[in-house]
Amino acid sequence: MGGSGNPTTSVENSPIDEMTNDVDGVEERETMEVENPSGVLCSGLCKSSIYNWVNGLESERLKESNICCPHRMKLLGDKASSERSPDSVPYLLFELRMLISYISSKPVLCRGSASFIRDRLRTLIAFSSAFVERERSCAYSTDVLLEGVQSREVFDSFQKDVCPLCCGYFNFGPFNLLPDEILKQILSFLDGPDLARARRVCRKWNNLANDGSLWKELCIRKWRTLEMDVHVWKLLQGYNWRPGETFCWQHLYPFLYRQKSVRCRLQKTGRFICYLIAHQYDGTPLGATDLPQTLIVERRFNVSHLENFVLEDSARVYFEPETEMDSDGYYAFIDYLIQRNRAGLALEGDRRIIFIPPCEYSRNVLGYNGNGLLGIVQHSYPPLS
Amino acid sequence: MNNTSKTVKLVSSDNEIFEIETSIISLSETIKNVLEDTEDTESIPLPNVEGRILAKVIEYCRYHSLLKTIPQSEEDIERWDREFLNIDQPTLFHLILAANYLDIKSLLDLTCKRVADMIKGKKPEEIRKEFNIVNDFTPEEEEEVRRENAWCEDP
Repeated sequence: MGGSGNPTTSVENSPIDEMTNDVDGVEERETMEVENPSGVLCSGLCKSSIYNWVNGLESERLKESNICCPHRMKLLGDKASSERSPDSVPYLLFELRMLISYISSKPVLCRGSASFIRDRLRTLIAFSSAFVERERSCAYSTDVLLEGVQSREVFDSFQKDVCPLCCGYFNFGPFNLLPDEILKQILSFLDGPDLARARRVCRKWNNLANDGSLWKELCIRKWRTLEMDVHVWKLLQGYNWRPGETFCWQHLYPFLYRQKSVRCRLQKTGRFICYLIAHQYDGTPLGATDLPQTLIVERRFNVSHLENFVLEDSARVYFEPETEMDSDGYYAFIDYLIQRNRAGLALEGDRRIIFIPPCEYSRNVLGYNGNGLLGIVQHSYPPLS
Repeated sequence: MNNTSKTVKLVSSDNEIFEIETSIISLSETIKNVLEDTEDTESIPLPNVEGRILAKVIEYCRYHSLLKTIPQSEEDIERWDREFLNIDQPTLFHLILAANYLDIKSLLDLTCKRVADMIKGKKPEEIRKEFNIVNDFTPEEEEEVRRENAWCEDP
């Protein structure tokens, strides 16, 4: 996260910097050079304390300095104390200038959304008003500041002794009340897209929402037997996992999210076999009606014909038994095909649905080594040669 | 051994006293354990739970233990739970803490789900605003995590 490029140069080149120097005459440039340049606004370089400030533990020192953070104290060193108060116009101007020169030193910020600036301004306003509140409250009561925060222990445990303006720890929102396990439990009620968006809220949420167990749960919900049949992972387009690599559910999920699944009832002529979920993993995308709700396996043919039958652009699907109860019928059907060396065929208008048990074709051509049932959905097939 | 009429006094952090049947408050594993460990407990101090929150917890326990004797339809229970959670944000979060501390799993699930519903469908910035969370990513980190999760933004 170290700042790349030379911030001193870029700040010098910007018109804003001149303004900063004119008005402030502080050692801003020097400090930016010495400290982590990209961190003027947000690195962990300021280790002193909103904590002390809020609790009034070092009120003497604070009365003197009026602001909590040594980094800012240094920048504001030669100001009169009235101008160093977060309630003063010069102080807010100083913060705004810091913000502006930071942004002008980061071209990438000017391209993105303004959310960074909005958040920053909100923090500044919160900081300034919290300061006023504290001044107003003779008791230095934290309750005034921390709406909803009742217990000092809870509050203490969340204040990591870090300056809020530098590190964004000025989080007095309700989530600061909750231990991480509970936040994780809340996140476990979200679906994939919401969980992905939650990762973008802040660092803490990103860490908690990036938890493999949450994503695993979401993956299994979409594809029940995924955990039991590792060979299927290889089929998932764009997700090139190989056995032995660290497997990452959160990377798999986006593929499952885009992939289409259809529930079908599988029958031999006149006889129910089981319920299936067909997951498309490759080929021409299936339309809404391409897989009928009931698949009747009317014909069988020798698996050696598969090479002639299957069209290149056909939709490739993986069939899984819908529930545990469907497993018996499912595997009995696969065994039935394997023993006779047959693939199954269901006809539906001009559509052909081919059921492929584990065989040479599935292993060599489709690249699948598991013992599940694969399928092909295509709209016509070339005549037998 | 008349369990149904036996009562216990719960003392909240602000010293409010609630007298309640042990059969009802035993929905809380924490209190159930205390009652099992020490016979003839007359009062249990709950320094982590405020009176107004404890009142809500008891309301919840009362209704849900009533269901054991007077069954209600799923819709009725859902409606009751929804009404019950028609509360402001700070109360909701304190209720979560109380459910966690008192170990009432169904209440913890209910309240956590309610918060999850408040998160659903919102953009990161809207979530921050709703819950007063500060974006502490550096712009570089923010860009990276945005890119990693861009898949959910396209339909």
